[in-house]
Amino acid sequence: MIGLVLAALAFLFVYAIYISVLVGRRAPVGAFSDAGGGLPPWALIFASTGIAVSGIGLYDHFRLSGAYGLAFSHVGLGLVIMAICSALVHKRLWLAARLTRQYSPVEIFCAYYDDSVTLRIFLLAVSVLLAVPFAGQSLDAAGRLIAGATNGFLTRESAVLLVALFLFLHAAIGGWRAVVLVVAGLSALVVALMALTLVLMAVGFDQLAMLAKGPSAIKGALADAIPGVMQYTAGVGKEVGPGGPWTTLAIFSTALSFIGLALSPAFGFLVTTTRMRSALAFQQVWMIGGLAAGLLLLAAPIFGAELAVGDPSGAAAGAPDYGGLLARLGALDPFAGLALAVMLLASLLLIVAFLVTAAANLISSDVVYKYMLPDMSADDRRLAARIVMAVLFAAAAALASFAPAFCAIAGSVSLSLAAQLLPAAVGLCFAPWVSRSGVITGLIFGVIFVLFTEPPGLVAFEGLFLDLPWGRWPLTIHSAGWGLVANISACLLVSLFTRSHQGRVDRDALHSAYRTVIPADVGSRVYPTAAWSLTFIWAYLAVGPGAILGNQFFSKPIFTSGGAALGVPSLWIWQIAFWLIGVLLVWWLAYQIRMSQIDVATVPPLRASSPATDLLGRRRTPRWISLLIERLAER
Amino acid sequence: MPPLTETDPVDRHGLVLAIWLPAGFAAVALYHYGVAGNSGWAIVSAFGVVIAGFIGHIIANHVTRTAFTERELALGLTSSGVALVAFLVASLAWREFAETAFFPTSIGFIAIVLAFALHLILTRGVRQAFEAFDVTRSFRVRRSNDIGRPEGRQS
Repeated sequence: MIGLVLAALAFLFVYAIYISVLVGRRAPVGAFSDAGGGLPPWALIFASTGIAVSGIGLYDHFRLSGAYGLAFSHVGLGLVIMAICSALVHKRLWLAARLTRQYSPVEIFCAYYDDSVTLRIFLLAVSVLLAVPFAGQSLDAAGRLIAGATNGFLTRESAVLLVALFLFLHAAIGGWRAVVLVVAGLSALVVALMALTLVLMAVGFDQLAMLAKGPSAIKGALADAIPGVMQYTAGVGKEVGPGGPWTTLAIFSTALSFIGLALSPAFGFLVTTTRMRSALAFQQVWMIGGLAAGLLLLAAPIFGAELAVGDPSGAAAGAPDYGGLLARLGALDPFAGLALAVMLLASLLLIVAFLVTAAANLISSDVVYKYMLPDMSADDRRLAARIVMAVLFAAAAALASFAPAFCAIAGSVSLSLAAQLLPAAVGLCFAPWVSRSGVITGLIFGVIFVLFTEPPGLVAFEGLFLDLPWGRWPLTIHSAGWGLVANISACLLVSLFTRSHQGRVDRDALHSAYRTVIPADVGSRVYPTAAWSLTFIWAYLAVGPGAILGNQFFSKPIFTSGGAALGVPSLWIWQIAFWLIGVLLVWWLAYQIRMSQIDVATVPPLRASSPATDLLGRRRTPRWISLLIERLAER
Repeated sequence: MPPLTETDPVDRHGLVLAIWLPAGFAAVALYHYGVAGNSGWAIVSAFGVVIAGFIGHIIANHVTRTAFTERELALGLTSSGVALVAFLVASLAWREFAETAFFPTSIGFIAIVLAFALHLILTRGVRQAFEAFDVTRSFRVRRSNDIGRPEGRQS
């Protein structure tokens, strides 16, 4: 098995370097950081699936499904929410990119909100958080996985450094296009091997633990039911209610955190640099909402139960590990064990490569050669991007090797903070009355609520001052939920009074251009209203308070006194039923309401109405940055 | 059809590899599982995965408006030939292997040949599909006064 794992690892690296060399030889130097906005549509379709599955933490998703059973695996429906969010935002983000001739979402958001430096800093900070501590968690998991699968032949630290080095080489040689092509390939590998491992487990093991004994859960947690709509508890670390923390509100608010992945600058960069036609709708409906969500909902309880069988002590302690299941599959057939190991490894590698490279490209384009060195040649820009990549990969590897606890703490807020971009994104796409002041005020409140309902804020505040009466996720509401409630409330309130302030003319111009380029002609206004009404009803029943009905809806049907012997938990059927309805809903939004349909080949550039605007990409270096550079240069 | 850009061949190659990477891994894993575990269905499934990869490749060709490249054809034919020879040698050399794998593997190879033939017939028609393998077609009917002249030189 050790030889097989090392050979598979070497093969993956050779594959990545091979694609990078091909791209490096063919692609122009100027397209190193953004692929010239010409990524093939299939790459978005493949890559977004893997990013969705891996970005929510596939590695830990299976482990937590083993610890909290179906109540936790229910959050897989959050990928349908992510697909809906993607349908809401990405078409218009892509249009804004083409209209303003800017590929960077950071640049688009900042230019739209009156060249806001605060927003720029926030977006870049979120990118760095995702690229360093969040990706560091995946690197750490990859290191542990390789060390375990090779029986210590490679230590965790050396595996982390090796993986980071190869990923850096691959990204530095081929740039953004090569990274996305490889991420697309790895995504296909993850999906195929997940299905293969499920089949091999079903055929090779005497009986699947999920079907024989039902889903597994730690002591005190419900394995096959959601423990209530909400628990009036102080939160994880202080107090956990009976049945476990995964109430319907916990599930819904965790699902909200997944939209952070869709709204993150990295994912936005993937969308804006793609040569789009029908790929956007296809990836949202069939790949993220359909394949990724469905596979997670079906696979997670099965993998979780098998993990608990393979590692009973780990399952009792908190979350089972992969060692036991890898050994059982390896005993069945070495390639079966290898399939599981490679599936997990590919999911970890692709998310690290994607997040770090995207952040490096965004930083190099939005900071280095927009503000610091605007006169760089194409070769120098490529060098700058490579240097930023090296710094980010080194930081992620160093943290993953020597401070994995820091990665876990700092990484825990990444998706929740990214989700706080929702009001800004809705403003950019649909609501010109959402003002810069409103967005920034909302972000400030959202960030405060996120930080103080997650370990970074709690640990820092309690370490420096005094104990807070609440812990992580009070009232079983995820930090993304707390942050969004505060954020949206503040944003609406402030925008109400500042909706006509400076910049409104430019914002209106962009929205007018949206309507001119792609008119939303769906026949009647009834359809969008009906679609959004159905979306809220679906969300209420699928991941909201209504999901509690799923606990017994199929096993003890209403209007009858008897029960139904289904052989599987009622909640699992509820999840699968609402996944199918969710796919139908996303299909309606994306195709029928035309929220993700792009049928224009070229988009004319936007004419700005005001010379002060940056919508056409004119850039004035902020005074504090130019002064800083001058001072540094003089020395 | 728009002209190919500099990166279009690389993009297409990336798509083809993204199809064959999982298909190849799954096929090898299933075949190994089938042979080691004496499971005929797994061996047949391995060939099913190869045919699925082949269909995926055809779809990729359709999407990118291209056809199989010469290198892909050469690689496919060579690897199929090598696999067939290895299979025959293994069947003759190891009795257990032959008992376990001969029948399902033979079905798999026949299925691959049929899939390839079906592809040729669907894309080129029966006549051209046959002509692709008609080696006698290159033997030209030479006129009597051409005898003795090097091939290709016409007076």
